[in-house]
This record gives sequence, structure tokens and C-alpha cells, in this order.
Amino acid sequence: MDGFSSNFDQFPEDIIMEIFSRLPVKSLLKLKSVCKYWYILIQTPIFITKHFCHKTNHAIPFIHLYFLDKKQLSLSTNKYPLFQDIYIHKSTSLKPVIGPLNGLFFVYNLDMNEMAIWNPETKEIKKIIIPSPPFYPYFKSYAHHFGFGIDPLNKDYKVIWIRDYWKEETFTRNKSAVISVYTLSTNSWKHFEDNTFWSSHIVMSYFGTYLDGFYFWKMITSEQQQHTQCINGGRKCDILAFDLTNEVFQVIKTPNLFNSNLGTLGLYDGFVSMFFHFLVQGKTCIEIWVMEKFGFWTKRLVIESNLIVKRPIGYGVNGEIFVETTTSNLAMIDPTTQEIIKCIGPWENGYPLQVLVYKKSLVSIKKLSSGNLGKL
Amino acid sequence: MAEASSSITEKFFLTLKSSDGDEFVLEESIAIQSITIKNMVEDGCSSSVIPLSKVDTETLIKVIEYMKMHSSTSSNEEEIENFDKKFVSNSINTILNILEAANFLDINNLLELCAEAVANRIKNKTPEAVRKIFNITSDFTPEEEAEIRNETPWAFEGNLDHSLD
Repeated sequence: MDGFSSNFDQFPEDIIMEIFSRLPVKSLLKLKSVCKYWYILIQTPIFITKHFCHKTNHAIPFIHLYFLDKKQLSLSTNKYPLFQDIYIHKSTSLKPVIGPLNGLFFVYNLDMNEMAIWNPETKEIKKIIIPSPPFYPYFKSYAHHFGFGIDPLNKDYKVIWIRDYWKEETFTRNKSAVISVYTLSTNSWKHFEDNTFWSSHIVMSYFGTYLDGFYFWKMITSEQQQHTQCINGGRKCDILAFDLTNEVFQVIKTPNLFNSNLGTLGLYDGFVSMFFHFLVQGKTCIEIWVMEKFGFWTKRLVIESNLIVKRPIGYGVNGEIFVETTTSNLAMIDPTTQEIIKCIGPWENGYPLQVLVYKKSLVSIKKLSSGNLGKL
Repeated sequence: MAEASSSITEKFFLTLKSSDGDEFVLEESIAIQSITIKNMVEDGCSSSVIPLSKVDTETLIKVIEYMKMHSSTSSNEEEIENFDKKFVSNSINTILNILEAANFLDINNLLELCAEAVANRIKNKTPEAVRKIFNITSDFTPEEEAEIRNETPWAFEGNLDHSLD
């Protein structure tokens, strides 16, 4: 009756891990200060992976809300009875957060000259030093696009930065896109050029588009470059893919019937996907296409809805479709029942930017950037 | 054992012996929820008494109670659910003892139930309370501990639970 009498050293590590893997990140950060053994255990890559993958660590919607006014960031927005758990990220930046990868995001604000990798759950932020222009000191860079992915071979996190360079005095741009790749484990950048595309061809997506060692962007090229048949006024939609292990690009074709002016690239049901929406006789028609293999697309889903969709925002944990309506509400469409649920909003001076599927993670960016990659 | 006659179901019994020396007779079909015991039975050790040197009497009674409820064909889902709810309301130290026994006996459902219960109970507890519950002496210097707390000061904010149960 007199309680748990075992000497702690005899308490099996398996049991400690069983208990700890069911605890929220905040509790674990507190328990790190109990003793040295727990401090080390909680930070081991094996435990971090076990905790991240544990069945009680549910995927939740990560909702990125944009506000015009900084004052509104502090307003309480905690009442969302629709979701058991949810992460609300409020910002005054229209730039997307990119990720998550094992609970980490890449965030940037070039106006402030800032780039960082961020773990919202541990609140850890690692700033990335921005390199000076690598090739064209007298040129100005524009058309910035980013990607964030994992090199599966080396289990390393990488940021891809694509930009074009423009010489203002002569109105000339350089012949190729400039690519800068940041590697977290070495905390360093490397730069190269690729003359098969320009950064200005890329269409920014607010959806996460990293999958299995590749980061994907939608790209629109005109007829002159592609010599393709004249579709969509000579503009053609392609997918640009970056192989994070070999650090090379490849261009993937899309079906000719894809209208280059429409379509949002994302990931749906574990595939690279395109989201189309158009009005037909007062109704919104949504089509989701998935790329089952590189270059092989099939139509996965067709939904007709009375909802007037302003733009797609993201996909939910169970394949729900989040859209912004014309009244700036965030609405959710359940693809199986086609039921529409109004989630949040409207806001004054604000609107939803992104919905991403997020799992909370203990992963330490500091540890990763010191070359301690572990298993995640 | 291999007889196919099902009309007369022969019941096999095992004797489990706690670390305190108390013996408990239990139907084999109930006891083999423990993979450790199941392996012993399959290895032919079931004819004699099975010594469980790592499980004391009080804990073994609870474990047997759990196994009986979870194997009984007469108990329905609701009964089991209510039983589990009551089961995890035992003191945290009792649950930790059961957890250790469940790990040794390899009873996965019981292990998960107790691990979940302990996690829920220590979720909001202060490091000081957790140390007392687990009988741990801090091996940090006060400076080291302050430094760790300073890494994530916000984790120590909010409603902290100082209780030991």
C-alpha cells in the first residue's frame, strides 16, 4: 500500500517511453527538468520519432489566418467547437508558411530579410542567414519561390530558393533561374543555375507540395518556349519537380485539358494533385485530379456545390476540402457526403490563407542543424 | 489438449505465485492473455506453479481482476468500459505497479490502459510532484535546472498540478 517503491533505475525504459509517448509536447518540456536521465531520454531521436508517430498524436488542422492589422493578432479566436484540436497561426504576412515536415515549417519574410525554420509546438525558431546574391552582383532578384523538403537519402532538411535576376539599367534578365539550396545539417547554402526554366514561370501555391523526396511547383510556360500546340492561348501548364537528394529539376507534363489559368497544386490523398473550381450555371464545380505516377493523371473527385468558392485553402486530415467563400468565411466540404460546414469567420480585416495537416513534434531544430539527424 | 470434442469443454487451470508467496488458481484461457504466461504454457511449464517473482500479491490481484473481466464472454462492451474507468481510478502508485507487471507479463491492453492513465495524471504536474511520484532525486544542480526551465519558460506557465496522485 505504501506506493511505488521500486528504485527508479529499475523502472524499465520501455514503460517510461510508453507513458511519455502519450504526453503533449508541453508536458515533456516540463518533465525534461526532472532528472538527467529523463532530460536525455526525451531528446533522443528514437523517443522523438516514437512520440511523433504515436497513435495518440493525431493529425490536426493547422489554420493560417491573415490579418491586415497587427492589433487583431492578439484577439482571442479559441472557440472552434467543430475541431477537437486545432492550431491557429495568425500573421500579418501574406506569405505562406511552408510545410509541415515532421512538425517543422519554413517561414520567410523577404521585406524584413528574414528566413527561419520553425517548430510551433516547442516555439523553437532557427533563423537562417540569407546569403548575398551569388552570381550577379549588379542584378536585382525577383520572382522568389521557395520549397522545403527532406532529402530521404541523407535524412536532411533542405530549403530551395528559386529566383530570377534582372539588370535594371539594361532591362535584361539573366538566361537562367538561380537556385539556392540551404541544408540544415551543415547550416549552409549552395547556389547553381538552371536554364530550363525561369522562376517567373512558377505559380505560388499555398498548399504543401513536398512528397517523397520531391518538392513540386506548378509552372506556366508559353508556346514560344515549349513549341506545343496552341492551347489556352499558347500557355501550357507543367509541374516542376525538385529532387532533394540529387538536387536536380525535372519537368512533368500535365494533361492537355488542364487549363493553365486554373488549378491549384497540392497533395491529396498522398498524391500530387490539382484542384480546379469553376462556375457552371450558378453552381461551383470542383474537380480534383491526382498524379498517380509521374506524368499520369486521373480525375479523383468531382463535387457540385452551391457554395461560391473564392479560392481553395487546403485539405483536411480526412481529405476534407477547405475553401474561402466570397464572404471571407472558411468553409469545409466533406467529399463523401458533399456536406458544407462553415468553420470560422468572417473576420474584420482578415481572411484564411492556409489549412495544412499538422502533427505536433518535439523535434529540435538546433539538434538537426548540428548534424544530429536521428531518425525523423 | 487436441481433443476436438466441444460439447464437454474441459477447463485447464494454472497456479500463479506472487513475489509474496501467495498462490492464485486461474483458468488457463484467462491467464494466457499474458503472452509471458502463454509462452510458458506452450513450453510445457504449466503443470507446476508459475512463479511471478516481479509481481506482488496486491498487484497480482488487480491484474487477475483485469484479465477475468477482459476474457469473460458474459461481460459486454459497456461493462468492460466501466470496469476500465474504475480500474484507472486506483492511486497512481498502484497503476505504476500494475504497469510494471503488465510489461513483465506482456499484457498489451493492460499496458496501454495504464500508460494512458499515468500520462493523463502527470500531464499537468510540476516536475517536483512527478519526482515524488516516481521516487526520483534530481541530479541537476539548481543552476542547471534553472537553465533547462529557461529553455522553455512558457511550458511552466498555466495551471500546474502539485498533487501527488
